[in-house]
Amino acid sequence: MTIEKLLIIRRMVFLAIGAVCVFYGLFYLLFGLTDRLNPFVPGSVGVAGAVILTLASAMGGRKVTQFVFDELSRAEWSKALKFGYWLAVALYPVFGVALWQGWVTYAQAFAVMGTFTGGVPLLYYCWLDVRG
Amino acid sequence: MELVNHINVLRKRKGLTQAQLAQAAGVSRKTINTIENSVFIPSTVLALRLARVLEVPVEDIFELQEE
Repeated sequence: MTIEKLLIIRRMVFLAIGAVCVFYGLFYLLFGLTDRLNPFVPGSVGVAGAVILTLASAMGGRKVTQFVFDELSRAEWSKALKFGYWLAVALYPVFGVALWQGWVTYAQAFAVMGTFTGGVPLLYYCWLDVRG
Repeated sequence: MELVNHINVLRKRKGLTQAQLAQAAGVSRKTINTIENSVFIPSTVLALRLARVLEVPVEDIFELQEE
């Protein structure tokens, strides 16, 4: 496992988990598919991604992992988490009003807020990673 | 005051590529690239590691310039 390969695997894993979470939330929000989507899908993809990343890091060894998860990587991850935090805070009043007005159900609000809070920082991190 | 760096010049003077400098400093090539483009400001520890690899004082790499 080389540095470049581990970088790509991390990007792909984060992109996959983030995309699944966000699409899952969007489908819930737009189509109200509360009875058709398995609620364990985002969590299962997240756990699978964590396993893949852990195995890839173990294959690369300590040295390669340190190169990949270096200072810039930690700074960008911190920036992505801050973005996710403020997004989560902003979703409360948005869905508070939406629930009050009856535009969404509690199941939709729960699904969207949960998956967006988890998925958006991962996608934002991918964008920071690609932007360079 | 603005922080400017001369990593690009010093790296080339030493005959290193970004990948080689990154390898020697223990970071990814992208980290070196973002430092050179002033997108990312490294920590003191990394600045000192870069100075050691480039064999110059850290003040030669980074300096504060009046705006």
